[in-house]
Amino acid sequence: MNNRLKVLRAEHDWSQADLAARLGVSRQTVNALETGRYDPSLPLAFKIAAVFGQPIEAIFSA
Amino acid sequence: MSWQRARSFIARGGGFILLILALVFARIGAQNDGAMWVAAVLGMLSAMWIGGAWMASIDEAAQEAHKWSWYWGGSGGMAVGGVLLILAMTPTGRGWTVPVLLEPASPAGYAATGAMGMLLLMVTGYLLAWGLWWLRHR
Repeated sequence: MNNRLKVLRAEHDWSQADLAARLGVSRQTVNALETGRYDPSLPLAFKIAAVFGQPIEAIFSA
Repeated sequence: MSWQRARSFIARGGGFILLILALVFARIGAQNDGAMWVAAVLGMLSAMWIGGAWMASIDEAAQEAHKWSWYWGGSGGMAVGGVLLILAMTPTGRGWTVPVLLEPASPAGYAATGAMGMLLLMVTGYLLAWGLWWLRHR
């Protein structure tokens, strides 16, 4: 699965640690998400969408 | 104290209260077999409680790493132990000498040694798998 997490995070000028704190996960998890090595659960995907104020499909693609 | 806070306190502190009780019973158990049974059960309950509270406190990727590692690493370690177990029951194993965990050697001591050996193999497999999971997902 591909995602635009890194781009969106850069647009908000957040570090991985900033985003991790907003999502309630570790920085390692944010890194794994950004590199596409870990696919989030549906609840986490919804949380990511809420944090960036965008629909899930605008962030994740198959 | 509100119910919310009381629940949080029980979730976080319950395991440690069980652990303290287990240590108290273990001390009594030096002279009393019944108390040692209670200590052992309370000790394992506290380990499960503390482990459960800790598992709930980590994020989903970390949880996934532990679940994957216990399944594949633990199963892999158990498979290695299974080979040894099967061989021990065949003529091949008759010449083996096994160090005993509890002296003097007794059936319970040999059983404890076998259980500990299997546990060590499973934990070794788990640790290797856990490292591999993070190497693949970092």
